[in-house]
Amino acid sequence: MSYLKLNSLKKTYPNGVTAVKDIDLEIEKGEFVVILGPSGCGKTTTLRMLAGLEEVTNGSIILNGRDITHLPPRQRDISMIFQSYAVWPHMTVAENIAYPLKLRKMDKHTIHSKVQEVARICNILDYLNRYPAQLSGGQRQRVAVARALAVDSKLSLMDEPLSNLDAKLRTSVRTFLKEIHRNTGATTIFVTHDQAEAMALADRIVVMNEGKIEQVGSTREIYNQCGSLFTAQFMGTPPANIQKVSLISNQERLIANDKNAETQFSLDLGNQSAFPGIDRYIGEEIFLAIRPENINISEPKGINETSIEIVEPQGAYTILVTKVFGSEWKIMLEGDIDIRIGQKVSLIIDPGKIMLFDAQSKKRVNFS
Amino acid sequence: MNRMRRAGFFKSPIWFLVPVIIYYAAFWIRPTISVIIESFTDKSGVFSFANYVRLFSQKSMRTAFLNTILFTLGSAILQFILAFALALWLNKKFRFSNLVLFITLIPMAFPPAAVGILWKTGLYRFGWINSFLCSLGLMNPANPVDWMSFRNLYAVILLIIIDTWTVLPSVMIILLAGLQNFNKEFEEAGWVFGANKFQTLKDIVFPIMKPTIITAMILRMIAAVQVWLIAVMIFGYNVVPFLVERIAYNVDVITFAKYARKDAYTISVIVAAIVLISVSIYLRVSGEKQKGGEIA
Repeated sequence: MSYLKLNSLKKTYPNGVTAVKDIDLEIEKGEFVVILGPSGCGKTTTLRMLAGLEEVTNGSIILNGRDITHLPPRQRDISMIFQSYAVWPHMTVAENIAYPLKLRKMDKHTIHSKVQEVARICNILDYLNRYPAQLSGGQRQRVAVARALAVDSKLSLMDEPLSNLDAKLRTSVRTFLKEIHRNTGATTIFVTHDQAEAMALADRIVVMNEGKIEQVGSTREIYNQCGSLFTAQFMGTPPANIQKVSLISNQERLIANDKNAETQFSLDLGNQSAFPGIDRYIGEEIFLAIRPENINISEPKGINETSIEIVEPQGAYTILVTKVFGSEWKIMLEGDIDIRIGQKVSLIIDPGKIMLFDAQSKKRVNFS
Repeated sequence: MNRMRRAGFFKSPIWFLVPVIIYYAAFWIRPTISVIIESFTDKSGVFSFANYVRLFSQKSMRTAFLNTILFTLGSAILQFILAFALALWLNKKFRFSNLVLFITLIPMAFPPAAVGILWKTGLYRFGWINSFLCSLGLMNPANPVDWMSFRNLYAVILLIIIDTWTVLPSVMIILLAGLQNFNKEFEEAGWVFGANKFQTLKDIVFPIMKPTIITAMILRMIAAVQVWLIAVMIFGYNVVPFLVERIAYNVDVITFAKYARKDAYTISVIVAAIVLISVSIYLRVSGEKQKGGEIA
């Protein structure tokens, strides 16, 4: 029996919109799970159902063996960090941290030492007597973290807590949150639309789309072994190059052709033996996805030939833009590449890094 | 040097204020000062408290004073509770909340004269209030209540109810505007961190909403101290005396009585003083210590 269990959780709003459709998820104690997805995918609704701020239409939530599906938020033994921090403006920092403890009927002495303890962890000891309006966004964020830490909850929920911070602060608070998690081992569910945040923080990522879970896995699995076309499109900056192609087999080599055959381009994907189970897709349409960093270039060799159209140097790496099947593909190469615009190159693709998706179900058809 | 300074003086942006200063001096400060002077002088123009002494020796004036205080306190408390409850309810955005909001705003559209007529037709022995109560079975048709015969405290309570019916929407709309600006996450944080609905309301929503509540209540108190028209519309002059009703009575009804004008001026000063004092007491009691910036 896992620590937190979501059984076919469903949310339909009174206006008939179903935001969350049958979510099943199991989370172990101490895990840091990130729910990732574009806006409107149901990730925040799922989190709010866990918090008890949104009524559950169907299904159940079991936390530590207790059914909390229909309990009010205060009886769930959870803590939460809100997008706007929700640090109460009429209380000082110390009062903000102490208020939940007072509600738990702790004695004054315990509250005082608890406030001191979490304030030290979050590095806000100097601001205890200030009001939130006198603090910066990053400091308010730390107050929100301290308040959540102080209550020692069974489950810690975070609703896009970094989205209101500027880019520089975001990475440092991210590191801070990870450090806090390492020290406390609190079971955490973190909601975000930012894949960099998700990959940096998560033990496991849950990718959501249109109210359903697309894929659950470690950062590595989600990034390299995309289970669906959506995950391939969503993960990565720049995202994977994706093209609808028809497959043909030519002398044991797998060839992808432009489905409309407008451009005469065809891409040699390598030995067919590298794609077990691909036979039934020969002659069929299929989605092809390759990550920009999984393409390399060489001198023109007669196959997979194209020309470089745009060069975007980034210092640590270089992004090249080329036309493949008439659409723009990006290639990411390490270091500062010396290349001219218009230069002819051959694309070198590792067959093991190619991801193919069924044209109808959009699910992965080859796993390596 | 001197010329330049003079040119600077004439180019000063202070001159933009001149129209408003003239307006205030002519139509605000001058009449106010003359009213105050009139109230503190006798017929021959000598300084005296005679006007105040005379007024407070009148029984109707003492009743007016008491009635005004009762009315102000009663209507402020009743209207705040009802308006806040209504605003909290309408803020929930349920299916027909916009329709309900529209309906609750209707009384605001009635001028006081219309409100007077509307309620007066109901308060007679055979008015709509009694018919309504009879049809609900709450009243014996053989023994109807004559609401118009109510006097003293009962009349004041009746007027509080009528006034509440009229101005509730205006109080409610200010509170609703405040609630709509209220960041819902403050409240949700309360629930998540262990507060029940009542504790959240008491410890989080009320304190954060305080500036809005103070605005609404000050506007209400100023209007309540100045009540008169509804009392006159329903009961007529000199039946349920209020302070401002006394002013109107002196100016409109007994215009040529010996002290009518002096009395009207003096009561005006008293009303102004009451408004100023009660507002400053309210501000002090509600403990306005603003933390500056970004509230709610």
